[in-house]
Amino acid sequence: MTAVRLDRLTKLYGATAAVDDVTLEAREGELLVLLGPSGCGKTTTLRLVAGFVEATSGTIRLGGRDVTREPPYRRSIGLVFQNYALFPHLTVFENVAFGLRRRRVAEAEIGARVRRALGLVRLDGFEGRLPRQLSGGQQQRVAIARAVVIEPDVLLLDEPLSNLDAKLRHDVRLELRRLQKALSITAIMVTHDQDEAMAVGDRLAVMGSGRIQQVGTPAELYRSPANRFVASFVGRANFLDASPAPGGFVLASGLALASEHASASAGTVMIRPEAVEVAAEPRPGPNQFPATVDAAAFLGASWDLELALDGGERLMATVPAARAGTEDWSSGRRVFVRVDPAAAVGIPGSERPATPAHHEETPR
Amino acid sequence: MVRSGLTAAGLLAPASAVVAVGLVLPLVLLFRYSLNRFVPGQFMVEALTAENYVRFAADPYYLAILRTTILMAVGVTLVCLVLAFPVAMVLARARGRWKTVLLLAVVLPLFVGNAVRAAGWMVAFGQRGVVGSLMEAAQLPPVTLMYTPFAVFVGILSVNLPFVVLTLSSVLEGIDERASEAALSLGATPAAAWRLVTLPLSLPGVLAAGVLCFILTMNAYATPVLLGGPRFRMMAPTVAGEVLQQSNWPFGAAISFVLMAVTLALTAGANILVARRHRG
Amino acid sequence: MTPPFTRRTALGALAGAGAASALPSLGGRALAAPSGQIVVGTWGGDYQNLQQAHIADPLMKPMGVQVVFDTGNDTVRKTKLMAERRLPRGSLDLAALTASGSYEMWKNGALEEIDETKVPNLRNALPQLKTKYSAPHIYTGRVILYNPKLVRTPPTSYADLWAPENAGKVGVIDIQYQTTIESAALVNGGALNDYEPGKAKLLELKNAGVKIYPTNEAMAQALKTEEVAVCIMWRARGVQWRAAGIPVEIVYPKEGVVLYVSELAVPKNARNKEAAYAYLNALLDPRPQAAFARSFGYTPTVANATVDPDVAPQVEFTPELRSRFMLQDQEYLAKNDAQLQEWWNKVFKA
Repeated sequence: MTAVRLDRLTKLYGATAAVDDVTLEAREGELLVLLGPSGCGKTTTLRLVAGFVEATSGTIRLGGRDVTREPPYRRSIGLVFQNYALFPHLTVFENVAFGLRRRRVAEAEIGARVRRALGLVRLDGFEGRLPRQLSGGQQQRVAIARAVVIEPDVLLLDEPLSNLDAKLRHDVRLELRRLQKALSITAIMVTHDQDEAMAVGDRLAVMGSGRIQQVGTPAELYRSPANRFVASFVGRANFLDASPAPGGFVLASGLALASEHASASAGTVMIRPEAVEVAAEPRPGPNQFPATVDAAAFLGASWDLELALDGGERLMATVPAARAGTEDWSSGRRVFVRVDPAAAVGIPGSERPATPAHHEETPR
Repeated sequence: MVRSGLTAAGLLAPASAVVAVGLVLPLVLLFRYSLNRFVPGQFMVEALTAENYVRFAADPYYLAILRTTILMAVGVTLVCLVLAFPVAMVLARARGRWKTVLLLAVVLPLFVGNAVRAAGWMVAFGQRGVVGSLMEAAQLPPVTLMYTPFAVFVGILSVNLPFVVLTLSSVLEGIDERASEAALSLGATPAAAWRLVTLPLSLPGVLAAGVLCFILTMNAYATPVLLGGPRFRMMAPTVAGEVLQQSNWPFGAAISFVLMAVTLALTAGANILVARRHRG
Repeated sequence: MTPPFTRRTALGALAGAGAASALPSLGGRALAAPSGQIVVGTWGGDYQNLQQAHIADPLMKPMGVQVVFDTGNDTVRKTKLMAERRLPRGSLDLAALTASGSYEMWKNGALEEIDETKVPNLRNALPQLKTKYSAPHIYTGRVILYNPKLVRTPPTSYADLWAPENAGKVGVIDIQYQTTIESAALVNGGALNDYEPGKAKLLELKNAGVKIYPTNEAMAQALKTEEVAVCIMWRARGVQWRAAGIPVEIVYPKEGVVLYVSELAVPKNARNKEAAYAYLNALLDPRPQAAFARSFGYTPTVANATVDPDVAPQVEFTPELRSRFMLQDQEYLAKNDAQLQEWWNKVFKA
């Protein structure tokens, strides 16, 4: 069942499209993450769903109801802001009760529901405090309680973790995930942080230049990005110029690379650094290339290597320390590189995100 | 610590001296005058008497002037706040060049002095003035505007409005726009969001702007004199009248102290009231 | 309201002064020749400008006396004189005052008795206007102004302001409270030493719908827009206003012509009395007197001033009118002014 459906949604500011023909759905109970760099249109999309920005064209449906022309207060949404936007003059209790009072819920029920929501975010006993008497993390949780207590059709989270310090952010995102699942509430979260997106999102929608570049589970996006923009935004990647050949690609230097993901339209091969195996001696199998270590960094759990293939291509490789054993990958060392044909993924050549001119590249 | 404290005190000394000499000393002197006696033909005679204050408090004529002044100040302040709030809101939310233009539009009237603006209103309100001619053209019955309390009200309003808009907007700028968006997202209509979130958060600004407007009106001189005409009396022109026309310095000084005390008391009262509501 | 004081008149006066540089009446008479600087406390505007152009520049400067004007209202000036009364040196060498003001200052011991030998021109001054403590500078008389278009029967007496046909057409001026009460007193059994009957009479006028204007200028405006058809005013103002195109006629009330006199006096603690006396003498010189009459509409206070024939009818008083001159009772006013103003504010204007 679809909780939120955006259909050909467009927002123009003058001649510039902040959101460009976006079609997207969030399924019942899932956490959909809008991921992209700043200015990609993800926040505008969220504000369109919330109703703070009026769509130029297209439709927004919440729970099957067309709310495109409805003001925010007639949409059933819960919104958590980056800066929490608590009401500084109201107590924690009144902050959380605000939406219930607007809905004219009976006083007794308000008390019960507010306490339940505060319990859910582990803030029992904080009812009488003012926001300024709380830590950032606590304010964040009040904001979440305030948004979920009204049992909205959709919970919208605008960069909810970016005002927290790094350690807290990690805890809170697990908490957020737990809460969203516990309430089985449909949520759309906006972030520019790929780790955060992959950690909490059921599905990710990568946005660039106002358009959806690709939608899928974190694993799908990681393994088979639709384009170079998605690949570079979801994890680190090596991009090698290549032309299609039977059973794989021919790299710019002339090296033949076997691939299980060859495609006629691909102009680039993407290889994740951890898919690059490095060994002192050649081993049997395809895609063996001699190379030289250019730079090496030991990170404890792994080695980060920069390699130069003898053909001239350069590759980043992440070698688990466990597999590397006691090898010392100092620079200048001669090594053999192997790439699993399953890990060599052909993608269209352009580095820029897809724009209307490349309409066929936008996945559905 | 000790040293920096001394340095700070040293730095503060000139400013403090200026305040003491320029503000406190004249006040002390004025207060002393207010205890003197006025004898017609002899001006101020040295004395230590409360008779000037008693005269003010016992005479319905002067009490009526005080009442008029307070009513005018309260009325102007309320209407000013109501009119200024939307403007201040737009100004606070405006960005870039648009903001500069708006700001200039608000500040520009301040470049014209009070008296000059009052003169402008005189042209508008006079029998053959702009308003009169318009009403005549619209075949409406003639209405006397010049030398009425209403003319003074409009005049002071126009003088104070820019101050109130600027004060309010600087406070409104500091209010998180997201807070009212949060209210909207929780189901509050724009009116409810304004009443429940924006207004309470802007109370300190409303108070500051209101106090400013109130004090300006309590002490208004040029506008009541020029637009109110001979029959309309407010405190500041009464002080001037006593001092300049009757040469009655002691009574003039006493009236100015009454004016100052009442203004301070009402301002402090409003502060306490708002602070209590804001906290509660 | 005042005819514009043009550059040409100033230059003309200067040229005249240059031609008659000998100035025998001002020159080497006094033992200590006047010199240095004097501070003249005066009203601003044309009154000051005319002094600059016709007295300070052409007459005082050649003598080596530099004139500095301290501009302000006469009440401020009186306060200053009172405040400085006990100091050995005051800030003013001359103070322009109304007849009431100089009387009040004299009574309070702030003014020097004039040494007539140092102000020889005083012998030409009209005897009625002379005092021991001041030199009369200009004067005018109180009259009734009316708009002939709106008032059918020309008024002849202050009492005509109360005529039923003038109800609602009369205006009075706030700052002229004293003279207004006085005029009312004169038609209700009062006298120049008893204004009390004027109060009741004025309340009748109030009930008839009198209009009150704050200043003379506001009254001029009201006459121009025909909001007001009749008022009591100084003749000099009437002359100025007529020249400015305000449609009023001037009539002399049969009760008499009460005079307004503008005077200059020397404070007891003036720094430069020699030069101050020289200034007083210059003030009474026929030439500046004539210039003031032409530009200002007030009447010269000296008998030997010859007013140009074109302005003479408006600024001179005929012998018949002179016989009806009345002077205010300064002693009565000094004692009663505060009380009169209080009544005016509290009762009449309420």
